[in-house]
Amino acid sequence: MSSTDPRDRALEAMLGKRGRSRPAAADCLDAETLAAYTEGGLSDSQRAEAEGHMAGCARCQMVMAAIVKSAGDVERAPVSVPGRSWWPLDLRWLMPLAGAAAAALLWMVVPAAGPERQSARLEDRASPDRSKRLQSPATVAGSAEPSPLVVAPAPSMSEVPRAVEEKAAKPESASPLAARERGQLERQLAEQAERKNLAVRRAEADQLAKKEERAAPVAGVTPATPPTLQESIVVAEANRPPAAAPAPAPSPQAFGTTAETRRSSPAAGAQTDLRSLDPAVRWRLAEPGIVERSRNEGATWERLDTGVRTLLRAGHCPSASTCWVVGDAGVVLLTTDAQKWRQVTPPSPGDLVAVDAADAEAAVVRAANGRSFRTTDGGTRWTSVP
Amino acid sequence: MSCVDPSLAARLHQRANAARWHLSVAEFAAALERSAAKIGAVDGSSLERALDGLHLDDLALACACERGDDAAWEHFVREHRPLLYRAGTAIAGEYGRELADSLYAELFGLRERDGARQSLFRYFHGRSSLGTWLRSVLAQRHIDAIRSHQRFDPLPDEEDPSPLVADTAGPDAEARRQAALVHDALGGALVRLPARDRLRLAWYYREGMTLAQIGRLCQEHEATVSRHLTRTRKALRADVEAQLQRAGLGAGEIDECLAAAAVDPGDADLSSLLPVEDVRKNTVDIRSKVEERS
Repeated sequence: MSSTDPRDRALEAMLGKRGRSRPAAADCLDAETLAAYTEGGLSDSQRAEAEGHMAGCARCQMVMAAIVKSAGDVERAPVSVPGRSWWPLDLRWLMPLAGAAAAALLWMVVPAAGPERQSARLEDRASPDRSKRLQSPATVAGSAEPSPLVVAPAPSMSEVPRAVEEKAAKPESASPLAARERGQLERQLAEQAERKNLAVRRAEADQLAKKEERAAPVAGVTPATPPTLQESIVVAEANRPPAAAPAPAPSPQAFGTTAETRRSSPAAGAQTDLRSLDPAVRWRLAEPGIVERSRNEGATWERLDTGVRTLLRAGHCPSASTCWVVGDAGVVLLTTDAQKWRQVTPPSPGDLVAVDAADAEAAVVRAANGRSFRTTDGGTRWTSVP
Repeated sequence: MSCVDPSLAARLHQRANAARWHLSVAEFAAALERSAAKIGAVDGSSLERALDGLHLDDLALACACERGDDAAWEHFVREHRPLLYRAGTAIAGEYGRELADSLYAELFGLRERDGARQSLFRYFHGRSSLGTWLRSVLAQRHIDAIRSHQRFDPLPDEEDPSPLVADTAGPDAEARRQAALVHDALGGALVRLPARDRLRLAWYYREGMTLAQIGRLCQEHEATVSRHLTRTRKALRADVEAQLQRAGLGAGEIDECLAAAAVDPGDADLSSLLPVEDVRKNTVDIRSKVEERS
């Protein structure tokens, strides 16, 4: 469309110039009118009226351009919905994640394996025709994100470490994207190892780390890092019930006790695992106001009554006895001995959906409205995090 | 007084499948009335036609979400929230997530007035699909943020010297005078163009939209958009040249003026030349300007 004539070029230069922004006109078109214009949903007279306004309104022209230009990108953009995706990666990575989740679920439902079963699995791993038996795709259970994309079947639980090894062996893994992919797989592997407490899997992880150090010692390879606040928000949001859903009524015996030990049961209901920096200790949210802790890989659980009855949404436990938990109505709880819970002065009266803690003093919480707050003195004072 | 006939409301309620969100006919009828008021449809036949053309399923969903219906929210979170975040990223890049977070919070209704939760859904009337409306709101907020930021940018250094001093003498002053002549002539030519032609020019030259994108908005084939743009540009040039000739400039001087304008287009923002209020009244008397400046 661009002309080579000097006079035309001069006019084009003037037409393309964007002046300094002026405040929007009071009668600017509302979002729905612009949306309807985009979809061709206005009548002829409404359309003419809208065009009459837009022809002289830089703001509406820009908004319309942003809507139209983003139309294609909306389909291609990575999903970065809190609670839906761990980070802005390609959707195909939801499937390995879903596979890992399915595997973890399977492990929790199936009774704990005895030594003979474990040795049988080890033999199974060593068997040369293992790949043939692993070909049946794992059932994806609990997939959080209905993806429009067609993706490959999720790998089974035992395929994940192998995939990590294969990824690590590939030379292109030095690229930043590949490094991120590998980091994610490493995290799956680490989670499985932590949950199953199998020495074999831990040895694999160590072996893998050493192998990666040898294979890709250059920049661009991101080692597995502890989950960030963003990820904790993802976990919290994923477990968030629909809006305005009433909190389930706590059972009568839930309130009387401060601590008791009980066996893990598959029918225990929907618990939310909390992030724990100590792999030997697991924490989870049970009924409203109740946190549970296990020091034997989930075989038995201590029941810790926090004393509040608000719906708790997320937590982060930086040590075996220290844990931060946040919930609705600005509830922030902290224990440093896994016995007594202290209700910390809340940074915000609104619902809190995530917490990321370094120790009993330093933590960052995130509210449902997206605002984050930091404390470095155990919750006495909070500062807003930009 | 209700302007939506109960039988019509019941029919549209059924068509929207609003019962799945536990929305009564009366509640849906109230939403339809708000939509009708927004559209400006009042009499029977046009009202029915207008309401029939609404995105009724999205309207029902928005109403139910505004009321806080669990099933509706669950549906919104599953079907629309991912799109909201995708759109945020597509429109505002890294800032998009924050933008989408903020909008989501307002949709949920964190603000309260008179003790009642105020959800942004109340501004949705079903005239477009819910997805496009969400994109539109995101785009508006993003553009407002950009424009607000631009307004507080300091003026460039070259604008610091007083125009009175700069205009008095020297080759720069002459170039500025020539560019200003073209600027005024272009403003005069633009206000004589139909609104759609001005829109095409703005979207193509200033917003950098493709012919296909403009075509989608104007409901034209891109070849048609191209033809329109070429024709408009020719008409614009002819008008500018005619104005400059009428001002007494020869061919050589017109070339000089346009060359000066190409080097320094000045504040030739289409929207600044075309204020929204009655653009036709703003025809520039180029001849008087030339006389005044010379």
